Amino acid sequence: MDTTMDNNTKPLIQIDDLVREMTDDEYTNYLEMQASAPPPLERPADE
Amino acid sequence: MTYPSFNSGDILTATDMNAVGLWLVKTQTVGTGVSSVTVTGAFSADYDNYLVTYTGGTMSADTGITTKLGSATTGYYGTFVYGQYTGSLFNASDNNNSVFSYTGGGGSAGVYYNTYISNPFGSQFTRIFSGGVSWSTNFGTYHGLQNTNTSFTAFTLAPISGTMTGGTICVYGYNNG
Repeated sequence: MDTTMDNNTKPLIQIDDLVREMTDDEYTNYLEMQASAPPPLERPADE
Repeated sequence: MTYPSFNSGDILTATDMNAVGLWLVKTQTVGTGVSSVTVTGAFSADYDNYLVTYTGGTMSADTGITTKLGSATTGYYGTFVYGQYTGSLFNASDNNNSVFSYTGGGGSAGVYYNTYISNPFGSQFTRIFSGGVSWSTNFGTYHGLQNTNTSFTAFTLAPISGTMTGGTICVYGYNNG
């Protein structure tokens, strides 16, 4: 599957059996959520 | 008859059926390349406590799986205590976050989500416990609460980054007795 996004393609969300692109408002909220996503966790020193 | 051992042809009485401890409420097959999956109609007055599992899928990135209750985007508190195979121990916290952040995990090799949810439909705080959370080199346990006293009927699972593909989410309700 090609997951590359451009200006015309928004991420897919699923609600029960319905899979659809995010609406503009959902996409705005998604980007805000991604910006405040949980931080990466600690990694071993050898990685 | 002696529960839970039954013989072929036995009649199941109300007493037998009412002694069943865990009921399958709903299953949801996950689509391809979705950034989140919302499961509606999961919680009701029928049960106070639930077990939610997600297995058989994959994720586009090695990362954690978040959980959101209903449409609530505030009031998530919790702590993820985890270790790594090197023996190092760490923790991460949700302090009035927008989701429960570390309730499952996975990657290209598969997903693992096994979460107990207490009182999502009732008017008290909803508490959540995710045992055996793991992805990449991280192995831990998450415990949190959502403090808005909201009655939830739905939840949403989402990877911290990337997408999920395939597998099945199962919702079970514990018999209130």
